[in-house]
Amino acid sequence: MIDPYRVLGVDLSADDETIRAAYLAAIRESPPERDRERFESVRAAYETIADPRRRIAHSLFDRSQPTIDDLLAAVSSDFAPRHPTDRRLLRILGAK
Amino acid sequence: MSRKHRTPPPASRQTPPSAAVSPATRARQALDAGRYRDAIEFFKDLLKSERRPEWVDALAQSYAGRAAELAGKGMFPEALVVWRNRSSLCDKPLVEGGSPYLEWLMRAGEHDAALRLLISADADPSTAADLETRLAAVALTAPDGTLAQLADDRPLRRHRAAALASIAACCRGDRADLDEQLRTIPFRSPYRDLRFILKALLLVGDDPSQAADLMARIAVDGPFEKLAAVVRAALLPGSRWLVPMLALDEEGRQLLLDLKGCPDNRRALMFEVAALARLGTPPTPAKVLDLLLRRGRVLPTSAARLCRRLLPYGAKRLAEYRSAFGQLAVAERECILALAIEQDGGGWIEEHWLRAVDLLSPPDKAPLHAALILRHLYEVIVGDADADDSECIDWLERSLLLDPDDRATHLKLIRIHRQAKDLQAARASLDRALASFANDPAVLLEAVETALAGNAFKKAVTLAKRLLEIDPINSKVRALIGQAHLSHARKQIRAQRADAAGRELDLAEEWLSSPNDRSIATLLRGLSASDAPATALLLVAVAELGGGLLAAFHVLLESSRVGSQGAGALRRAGIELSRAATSREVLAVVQAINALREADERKLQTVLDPLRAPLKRAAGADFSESELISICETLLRRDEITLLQAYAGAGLKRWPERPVFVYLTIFARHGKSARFAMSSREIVALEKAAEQAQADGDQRTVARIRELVQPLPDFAGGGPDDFDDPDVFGGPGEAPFADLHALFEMMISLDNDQALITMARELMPDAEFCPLERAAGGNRKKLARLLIDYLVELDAKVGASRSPREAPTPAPRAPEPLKGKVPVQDDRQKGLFDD
Repeated sequence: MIDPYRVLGVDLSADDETIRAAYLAAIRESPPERDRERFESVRAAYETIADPRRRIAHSLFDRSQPTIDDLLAAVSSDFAPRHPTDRRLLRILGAK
Repeated sequence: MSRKHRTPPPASRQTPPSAAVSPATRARQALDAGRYRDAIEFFKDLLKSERRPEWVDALAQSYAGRAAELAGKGMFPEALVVWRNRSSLCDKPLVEGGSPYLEWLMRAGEHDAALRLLISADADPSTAADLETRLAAVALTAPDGTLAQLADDRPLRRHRAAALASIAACCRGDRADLDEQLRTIPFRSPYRDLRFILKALLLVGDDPSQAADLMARIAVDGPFEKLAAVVRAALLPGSRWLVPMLALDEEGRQLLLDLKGCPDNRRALMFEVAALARLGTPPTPAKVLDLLLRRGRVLPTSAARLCRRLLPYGAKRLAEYRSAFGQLAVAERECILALAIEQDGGGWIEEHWLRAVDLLSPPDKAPLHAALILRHLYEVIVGDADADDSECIDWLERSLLLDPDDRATHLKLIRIHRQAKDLQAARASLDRALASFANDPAVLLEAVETALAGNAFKKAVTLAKRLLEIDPINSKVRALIGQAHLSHARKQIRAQRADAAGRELDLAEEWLSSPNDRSIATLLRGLSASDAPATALLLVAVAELGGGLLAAFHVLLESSRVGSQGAGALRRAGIELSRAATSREVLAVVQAINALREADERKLQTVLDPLRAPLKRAAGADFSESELISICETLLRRDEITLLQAYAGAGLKRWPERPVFVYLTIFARHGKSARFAMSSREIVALEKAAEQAQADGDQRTVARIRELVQPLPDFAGGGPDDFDDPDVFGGPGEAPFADLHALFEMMISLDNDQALITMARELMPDAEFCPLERAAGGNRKKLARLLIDYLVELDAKVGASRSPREAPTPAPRAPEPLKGKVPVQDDRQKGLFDD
């Protein structure tokens, strides 16, 4: 299971237009001659969620197996990156 | 040095006494042989008697060797002790050019000692700069007092305050201040790497590519390597940072998780995820599910969503999901249960899917979801097979009520009804589709096909022309128009309206492009009358079609279509069937059979009657293996068993080792019920053929053989081993299955309805079989069901006359009364269309 929303970088509630814009941007960024693998995954993701019927079908029937990226994305979606404390940094620098 | 080191070297490791060497030689030999511990002892003993400089150097050499040995094993503190002994006992400096002492100090974590080394100026000037650089990270955490002992002008001391201020600015996220502080650290400062690392650290989230560029400017294994390793890991895309995280020390891991924004209560989970990533293979759904459910209470909604998606892999854990993430909606639970059954590859999925549909159908719920479920259900249950099951078709109809804008489902329904010859329903579906997609080429094409199927040729042409206005280069439509005119011409010929037929043929020729179709038009002109000009046209057409078997096939087919006698037409056309047909002619006929429309299938038997003899004679002609297989497959599809027997037999004769011919020959001999009739030799031959096919990778033949020989399940409740019991295959009248109705139903579900019909035809007198055949109106499945009811009823009557012990269990479903099922030709389209 490669989450198509994550591949295209769109929200679950994104509409057709947003998804298409994200798809076109991703294709521009990774044309097939530059990154074939990324291009294929972007295209597959778009075809999976391009319109409301496909989105519903994906949510209802998708049974593909999860990847580590899927798992990581699921458990870290609310991560809020933060700056380290200087104490932590100095401990690392002074560690044996 | 430990006591162990002071003990004399073991005898076995000493030079043999017979050698009678001097102690000095013995010590040198030990040193040269790399036996440093022995060498140390020997040289120390020698130095007790006399302090010769060469012995001192040799002892120093022995200490160095031993220390290197220990460091090589990762025993840095021990190596440092030995090195210090070298310094004190041999008067050697701790740090000299290329000495490993500083390296070992750092590795042993003796940073303070390293700093003291710098302060004591014990290091020679050439290594002092290097020492400062390597101690830069340590200097930042060393007590101020220690650094105060360094000279004021030493960069390590001079730039330390700026480096600490930079760290503070970085930790506050204050880029301006960070830049300000970093500007005061010059390029040659021992803290130079820190400048890049701190800048990169602030860019990790916002501009990873710029951060990566900065990190690329730092040498690996620099003084700030521990911090650099964390930043490098943080910059890896996707989940690739997980595995490097495991290589960091505890502080490094925590800093990395800080940078990623991982809350404290989820850090243990992240290590579990990293451990899964380290395996290098995608985790199993069960493992992911287990992990999510165990840690559910601390996870966000995205994890609940992934968990729900994986629940079909562990539907028994629904209760755990509830306690981890909360209650599931009933409809969602039903979907999960249905998917779980699909996942396991069997079971009753309709129940759960249909319950979900009921829950989602109301307009205020999710009717589109419900529609998609109904379509999915149809795909799962029916797939690409013929759908005669009205319940399955109802799902599609119902899905369109919930979601009328799905063109694909409209088209599918039209085709299903048309293929089932329910033209009334097909037209109703078509009307609904046209209401939503009036000018859609695909829908219009279905309209043309449906009109053609109902012999509404004028309407078909009108629709096709409308379609051509939208899609002018659609060659399929052009051909369809030509075919519609041809069909209309046939209708006129049948009604003996030669003039009208001629006009239709004129129109047809405007649209037909293939030479074969144009020859058919000429052939029809020849059949439209029996006068000399018509016969001349017939002869022209026959000549264009090759004059042989193929021409005969078309003459017979067209005669059958226009309702005239094939034999008479053949005589008029002057076709002689007694001559031997060539392989090319046979292949052309097979190609023409394959191109037949469904409507002509029933005519095929009549058409082939005069051709069977010449076709059978041609079985021994020079065909290639693939040609022969292709001919057999066509004959098999068309139930031409006699011809199949001839061609499969010819194939087996030429390629006796070819499993497909073994299968086809036996199938042709016994049909789908072969398992009841095969001889033991045939069974052995099939087994060998299956093995050979398996070895050849011919899975299709393996599956077909398996289907042919596979015993049927015992409906009486016996286990699978019971199939070995010869009684199961008892003689006629000894029904091996308690539930005949179920057995026959299963035959139909296995697509064996033809075998059932063949069997019934053999068993039943014509007087009983023919009315049922008429009642079925050409629908094979319908006929099969009528026959089931008849046979079950018959069995019940026979059972009643048996002794009670012999009587089979009553059938669960009473046979449908034949009353009311008066054989009526299904002609619902009559009068509905314009012609």
